[in-house]
Amino acid sequence: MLAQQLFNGLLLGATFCLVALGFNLVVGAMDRLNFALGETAMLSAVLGALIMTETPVPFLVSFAAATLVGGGVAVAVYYLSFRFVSADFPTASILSSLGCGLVLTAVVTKAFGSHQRTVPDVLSGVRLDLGAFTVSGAQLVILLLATLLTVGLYVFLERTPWGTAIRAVSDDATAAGLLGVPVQRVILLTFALSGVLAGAAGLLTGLAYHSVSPFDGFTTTLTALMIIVVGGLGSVSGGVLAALLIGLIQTLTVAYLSATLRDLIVFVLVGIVLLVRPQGLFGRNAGVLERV
Amino acid sequence: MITTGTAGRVAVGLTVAALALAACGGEGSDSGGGSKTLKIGLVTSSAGPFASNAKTMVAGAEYAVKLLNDAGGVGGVKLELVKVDSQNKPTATATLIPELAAKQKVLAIVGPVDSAGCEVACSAANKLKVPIVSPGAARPGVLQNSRPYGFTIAQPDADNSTPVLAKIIQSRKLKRAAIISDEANATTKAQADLFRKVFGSNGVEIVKSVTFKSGDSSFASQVTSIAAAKPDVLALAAGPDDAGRIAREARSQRQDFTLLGTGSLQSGGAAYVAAGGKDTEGTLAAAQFDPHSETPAAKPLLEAAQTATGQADIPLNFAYAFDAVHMIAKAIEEKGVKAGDTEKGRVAIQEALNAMQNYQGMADATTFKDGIAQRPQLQAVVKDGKFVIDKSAG
Repeated sequence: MLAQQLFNGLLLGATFCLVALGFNLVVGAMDRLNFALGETAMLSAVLGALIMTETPVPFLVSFAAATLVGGGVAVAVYYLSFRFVSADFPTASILSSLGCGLVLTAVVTKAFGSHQRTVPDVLSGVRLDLGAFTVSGAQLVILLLATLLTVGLYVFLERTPWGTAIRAVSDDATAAGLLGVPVQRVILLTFALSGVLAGAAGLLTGLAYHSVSPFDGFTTTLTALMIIVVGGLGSVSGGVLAALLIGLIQTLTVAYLSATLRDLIVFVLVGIVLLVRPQGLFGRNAGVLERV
Repeated sequence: MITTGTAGRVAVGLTVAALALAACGGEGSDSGGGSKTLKIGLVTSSAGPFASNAKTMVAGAEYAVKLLNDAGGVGGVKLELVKVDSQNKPTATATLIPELAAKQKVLAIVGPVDSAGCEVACSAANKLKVPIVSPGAARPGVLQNSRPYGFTIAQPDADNSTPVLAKIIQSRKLKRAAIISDEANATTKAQADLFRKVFGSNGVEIVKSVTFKSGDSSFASQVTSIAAAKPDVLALAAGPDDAGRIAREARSQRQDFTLLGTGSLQSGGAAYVAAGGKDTEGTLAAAQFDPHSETPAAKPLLEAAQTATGQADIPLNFAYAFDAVHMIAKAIEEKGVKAGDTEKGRVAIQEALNAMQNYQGMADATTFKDGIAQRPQLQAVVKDGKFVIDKSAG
């Protein structure tokens, strides 16, 4: 059973990972947090699930739609809560993006109802028996897509001119601007990418949980915040490792202790990290290469 | 280029304004005073594990009021439902009941549908001497602090479900049980206690007990633990949506144990099946309401409701809310309660409800015994995507 629980934990961590990476991209670009990203994931998942249940299109089409919706919503949030808000007042964008998140939840609730929406299974006939644990078709899809997106993001940031520009803006936006990097366009791209990741995370999480709720957004945001505190603000590898760690801790706590202790144990971990290593495992002091 | 100042303030202002609009978008109702209608409060909840039950309750109450008003009202006066949403927050419930009593001056209240909500609301209404009828609260002792003004149309699980669950255990020869329970909700914790008691008294070994919290999304970890214990039955002490998703997770992990619920699961049957889909097929549960009752009083009402709502199966909370409104209307008519006569009217309605014997409605016969309805003991099974009463179970 332990092997299966470890796999469950890693799978949970893989879904956490995507949205945490989305948060980290924005932190890297603007040193600010987009608190509407959890709701962006939720909205994308709800629409993705709607496409899956109401149309005969393949899952990948729904998935692509969810990522596009995520990207679009993140860009809208950028214009509403970040683009025109002074950097001198960082709390303004925090409150404004929190407000955007609440509005997104209210809109989804009004438009689609407050009930949990079922996410249909994919590859339901597939089941891989790997001895110590088994992998369902849906789990396989989640792992493949999450890995693909994470690796794709890494390659994009490391190997493409736009990725280099994102890293340059993350490192020093003023210097990057002076060297000819179109800072605002890079930030816009960063928001779009973060939304794409959130959209993907939303639908993949829904697939893992078999459902999506309009009230999932804040929980997603809270989990992502814990991950980036543990992994380090702006760190890609830190975010990945922290997401997997928190996924494992949550799963093993529920399996061997109690569901009510799950959040408590994660918060204790976050508290310890804040006390011992406030910058996180791979935070600002860990070196520029570790960051976006 | 606009980067700061006015534009920034405008952007933040727009967001805050939109937020304020969203926050104010609750259920509206007219303020009290000078009422020319007979007002009945309706306490619903758009959040929490029993939100779907509350939704069907609202539909049933609204349908009842529509039918009564279409027929000329009660004593020639129209009924008006004053709907409030507690969002599953006890503090909100504690505020909304005095508001319904003092500001809206309702004659009686229908709801909340769940036991946890009823304990708060019914106790508050009792203190304010407002009759309150829950169309679903079924936890033992739920009306402990709510008499004589509190009523529930659902019989407590312990009384109604115990003999049915015992019969299921014996007929299926169940020996090893697992229990999954929502430990953040008092109603489901009581269900888990009921399962433990029933399993214990029928010689069933409880091989695994796992928990989750309302609002949890993933049940993979719990189901993996349950699967390792190899039970032949999984008792679902959960709200219907959560129970449906547990069923999906169980079947996705290729577990074929029997799924078992109390009467509460059947009462939220539509939500359970909607959440769990085909994976809920074969689920067994106790039941106290037959959506296809053949009794002379219930049959035409159920058929009319099926036509009006387009639903093949009228949910339990719909029928109970429908009957609750009609019982209150009957009490108003019997006692000749007038729209402006709020305080005396409330006392009269309470007395009439307490004296009501063998009321024949959509949910068959109802008689209150110390505020609690006495209901039939039935067995239900999910078949072809819906809970049906298993008449063969006797």
